Amino acid sequence: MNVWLIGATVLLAGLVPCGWVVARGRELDGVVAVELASTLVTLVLLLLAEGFHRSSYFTVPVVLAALSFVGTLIFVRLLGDRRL
Amino acid sequence: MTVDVLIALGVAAELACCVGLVATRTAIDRLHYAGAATTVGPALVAAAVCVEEGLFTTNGLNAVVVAVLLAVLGAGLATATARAIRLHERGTLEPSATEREQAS
Repeated sequence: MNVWLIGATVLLAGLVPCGWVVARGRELDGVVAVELASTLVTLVLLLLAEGFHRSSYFTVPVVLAALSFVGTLIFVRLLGDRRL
Repeated sequence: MTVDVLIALGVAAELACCVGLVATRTAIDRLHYAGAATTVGPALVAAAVCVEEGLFTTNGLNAVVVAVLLAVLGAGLATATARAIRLHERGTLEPSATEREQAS
């Protein structure tokens, strides 16, 4: 277990408050929490890729960083048009 | 040693944003923390990867790309989310009379 894997494991704890806001907050609060959660997961994957010393694993956070933007933007457009 | 410090700072910055997300009440306030999480933490982690592997390596450049993507796309996403929140709460993007007075 190196420092990269320890950092990834500690960072995963940050998903708990995001999940709490998604579960307890309003819809737009949940979207904001999903934004933060996607950033956290991207960083966790980056830390894991370096921790395992696999260059090919670095593709995953790059793709996730782009796709999470698109996914969350769809949620924002969807909820922005609705009267909540 | 430098790598350890950079990772610790990056992880601490992200966790601080998570605490801020729970501690604040309104969606706009929470959005500030979500936006901050896309800039400070990823930059520190990417810096740690670059210190470990070198900047002009596959891993180093991938880490920089991730940090830049998160910063640029995160800013755009925060703007879109803020517009949606404002439209939901006020029904318009135009400033109110009170807000105009405060700005002037």
